[in-house]
Amino acid sequence: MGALILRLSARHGRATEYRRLGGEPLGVGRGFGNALIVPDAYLGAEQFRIVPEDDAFWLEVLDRTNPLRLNGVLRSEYRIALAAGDRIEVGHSVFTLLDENTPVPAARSLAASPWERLGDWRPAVSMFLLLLLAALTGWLDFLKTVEEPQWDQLLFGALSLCGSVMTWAMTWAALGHLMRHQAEFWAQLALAAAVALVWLAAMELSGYIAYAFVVDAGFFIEAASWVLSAVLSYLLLHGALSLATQLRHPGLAALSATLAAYGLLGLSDLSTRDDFAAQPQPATVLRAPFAKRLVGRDYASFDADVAALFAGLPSEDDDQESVESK
Amino acid sequence: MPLLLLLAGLFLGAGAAHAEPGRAGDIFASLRAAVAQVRVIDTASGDKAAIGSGFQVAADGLIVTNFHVVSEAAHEPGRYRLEYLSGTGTAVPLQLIDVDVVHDLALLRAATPLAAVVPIAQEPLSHGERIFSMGNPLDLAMTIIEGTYNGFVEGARYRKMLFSGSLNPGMSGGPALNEQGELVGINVARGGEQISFLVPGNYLEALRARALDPARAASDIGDRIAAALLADQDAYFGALLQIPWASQPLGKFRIPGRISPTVQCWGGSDETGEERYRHVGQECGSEDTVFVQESLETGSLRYAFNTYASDELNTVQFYALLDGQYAHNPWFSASDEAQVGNFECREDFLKGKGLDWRISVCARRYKDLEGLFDMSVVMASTGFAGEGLVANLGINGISEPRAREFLRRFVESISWAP
Repeated sequence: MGALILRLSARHGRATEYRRLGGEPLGVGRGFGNALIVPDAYLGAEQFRIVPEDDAFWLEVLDRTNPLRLNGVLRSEYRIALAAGDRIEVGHSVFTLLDENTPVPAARSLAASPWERLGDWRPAVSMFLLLLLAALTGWLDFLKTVEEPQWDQLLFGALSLCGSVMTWAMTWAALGHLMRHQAEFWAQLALAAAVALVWLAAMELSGYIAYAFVVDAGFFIEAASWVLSAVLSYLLLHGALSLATQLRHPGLAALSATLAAYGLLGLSDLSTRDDFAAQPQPATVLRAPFAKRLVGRDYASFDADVAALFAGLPSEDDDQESVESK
Repeated sequence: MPLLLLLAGLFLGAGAAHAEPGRAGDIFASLRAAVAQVRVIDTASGDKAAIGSGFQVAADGLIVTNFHVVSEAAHEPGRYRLEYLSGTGTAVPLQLIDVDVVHDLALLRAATPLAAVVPIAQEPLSHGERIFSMGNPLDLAMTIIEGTYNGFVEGARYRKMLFSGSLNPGMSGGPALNEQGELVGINVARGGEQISFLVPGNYLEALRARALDPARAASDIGDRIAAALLADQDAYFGALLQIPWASQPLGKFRIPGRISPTVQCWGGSDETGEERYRHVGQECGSEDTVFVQESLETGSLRYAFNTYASDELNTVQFYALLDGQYAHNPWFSASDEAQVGNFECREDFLKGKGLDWRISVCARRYKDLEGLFDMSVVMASTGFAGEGLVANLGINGISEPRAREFLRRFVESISWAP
């Protein structure tokens, strides 16, 4: 007879406890004398017992206050033979018998595990990310400086961003100290610096994408900015909440806060946006010329595009229809 | 009755010819009855929305003023009505007969004619000759001012007389007269201290002749305005496209310079020592515009070239510099959503003459002027590390075919010439 595992499942299928069935009988019920104590008000103090006998396991029903089902079938016997895969339902509880060889999924890695493994290196890594952020900020500013570089201003710009990141991390560390007695300052700092780094790099990259693929630069950069900022805000908030609080669903909280914040921002932006612009909107995307080699058009084909541009301009009738539809 | 009026007009008009030459007082006395304040009345409030001056050119009540004086009534006849204020303070209704939007003239018909007619001069003026202008400045009183005729404005797209006198708001549409009290021009604009402009009288004659056409009289005023603007731009840009364009060097590029006498060019450069690059710029444009209505003037052509060169900036920095300049210029006058649509743009890479471009072309449609558009272009050279050119082009009020022809010519006239 191979060993069996008794799995106690609460409602909604969440497993709460596993118990290996050995050579001794296993009592199950609310009473404290049981080997498996189940806090289910609809179970008896001694609800049932699983007894190994004659190379088999037997279910002995000790309490009849509530009916018992085995594999969905109501059973009234005192003693029933059990096998791997059987499902016992009584009260609000569900018990399943599993073969000891039933495979279990591989261990899931905690998001913070890599960070925890860094041990004493964590402050150094946080500071490295912060310095990297400062260096990237300063470098990008320097690349856009066409006058004589004002080094103090470049340094100030870089340090200002780092100061903001530090303030963010300190605020969440204080919250963590209050709520979990664990500040996790270095983790908060590393998270904020990493998110800021990704945001900075991605925003720079989006300009190159718009340039290289000749997309509507203004729209693309604005849309990319919104989407990227929302995603990174969510990740940052999720991480910060996970580290600083004991919320059961920090991801849901972060998602709700992000959607609410960006929804309000979007509505505010739409309500204040002027649909009519008296001047052409700035075309501001021009980048170092490695992307332009992707395309190169002669005038005839470009002229066809210009003709399409004129032909596609909304007429007065279109405008009136638009107004009427509003 | 019309015959009597005509005879009376001829008699009264002839009276001006008998004024003593060169005396403002005599001219004023003889023509006071031929000049009146023209008022645009807001029908809802019954108050004046705009004022100008006008004068009678035929005894049957044909009155002339500037189009810009009566433009509101031309565009929104249901909202405004026209009247003139006689010397006795009586308001007399006016009817809009025809307009020459390009030269800023309007013909009106008075329900009750004025008591005199301004005679038309037959002899051309000589440079430096004294001329007089009548009108009602700032709604103060009918006045006459004296100045000097200084020929025609040079390099103007629209022919205008240069009058060294002080026109003021409210005098628009009034007559400009020679020493014999004969009409030589129509007050239209002020350019500065003692610098004013007059519409030559021959445009008035042309407008009067056109107004006699019954088919034209039956057409909508708005359609006539649109047709006139369309024909004007077609003639102007058609002529520009026919002539060779002057080419000149700018940095290591060749660009079109002053492509027509109607275009004025200005240059500039930065040498402050703080920049790590050299900048030379040129901006050209026609100084004239056509008034269509409040917040809508059209007819301007402008273009600009700015070259940048640097030995100190690296490639990324140099393109950051060009990126800062790669923007459309705010050269467009129409700012009312009711008049024009939004700009829509196309952006692309384009092969030019010996150089490649990043180019953005934007256009918008005039809502009430069928067939007319505004076009804005910005283009930046790519591919030359350390040498760059940013070109801008802006045209107010152009047809699609002319816009495309002009853009092609513009792009093809720029070349890399190290």
